[in-house]
Amino acid sequence: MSWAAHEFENYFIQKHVGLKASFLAIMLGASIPDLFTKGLVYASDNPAQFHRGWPGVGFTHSLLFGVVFATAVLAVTRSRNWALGVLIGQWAHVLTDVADTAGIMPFFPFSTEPVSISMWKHAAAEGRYGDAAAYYSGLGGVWDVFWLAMVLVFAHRTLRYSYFRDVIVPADPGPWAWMGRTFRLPEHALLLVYRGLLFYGLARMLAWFLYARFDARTPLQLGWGGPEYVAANDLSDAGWLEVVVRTSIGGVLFAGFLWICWRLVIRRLWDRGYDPPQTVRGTGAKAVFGARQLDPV
Amino acid sequence: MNRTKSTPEPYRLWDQLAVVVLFVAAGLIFKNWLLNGYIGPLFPLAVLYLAPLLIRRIRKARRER
Repeated sequence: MSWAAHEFENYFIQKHVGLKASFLAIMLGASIPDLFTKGLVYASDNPAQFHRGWPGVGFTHSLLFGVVFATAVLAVTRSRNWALGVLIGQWAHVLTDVADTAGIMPFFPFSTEPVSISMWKHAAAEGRYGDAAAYYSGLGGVWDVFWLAMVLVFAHRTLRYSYFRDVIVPADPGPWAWMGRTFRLPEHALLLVYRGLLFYGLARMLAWFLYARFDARTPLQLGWGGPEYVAANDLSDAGWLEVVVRTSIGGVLFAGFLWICWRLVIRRLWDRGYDPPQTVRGTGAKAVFGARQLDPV
Repeated sequence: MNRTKSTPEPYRLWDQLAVVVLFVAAGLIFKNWLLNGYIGPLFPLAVLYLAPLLIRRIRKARRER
């Protein structure tokens, strides 16, 4: 699993979607896969299997789970910005988790074959703190630094106060206004809520790294598939060709299923949905991306 | 464009860096609460907005007494 990367990537995504998706929804989408399951994962006899496999709650780390959740959000709220935000956030979480040894089942239920690039070990079997220490003793910590750098280099303007005023709030005016009214928070306090995830990610990254070095005293092993002191926990013995074939078949079936869902259900919900006043939504990929031309910043 | 220039940053960089340092220190003490839970993202709000607000209100109440 990834730790602070799930927080940092939200700002990078935000840069590309601009007014076309709600940041709060992206945050929600990015936390959905682990929201109801993380506590259970550590209590499980086989955490990797339970977290990412089937049988288990591995379906929360599939693309279809995001589609279902986003469709439900669209049906209930009619907000396209929220539906898209949830979908993008959940998909980003899923794709990020492909990097550990447990991997993900992207096209569940059409393929239950885990897909992984095995960059670092899924270490939930070590317990909550042991998991953190293992993550920041292998390439997981490097993955976090990579996403932090992506935000600071390519998406630093999303952290500005002006961006918050001109893009974040207009893309999602209702919830931000509600938060301000209900909790009596002025705009500069809401800015701290918006930046909260960045601070959270930074603090997690630094504190768990320090914990791993000076408290748990785990060895820093930055090789591919490390750290080596954690037992191997791959969920599948399949070779790469088998994984490619099964996943490709699952992908084709998933795409077909998605197309049918779009034609029968989602398109109707989308058509009756609404956009905030400042959002100009094109068709195709422009319905989601192309923030640069729209951002007034 | 003009609006961008007329929107001053309400928090100094040093103050924000101090919050990160404080967050790390507090996180090492309250690991599960601050570094894993869903309270953590509200830490900057608590330190940079709520705490000063509370201090101002306490001072005001003392003056009025």
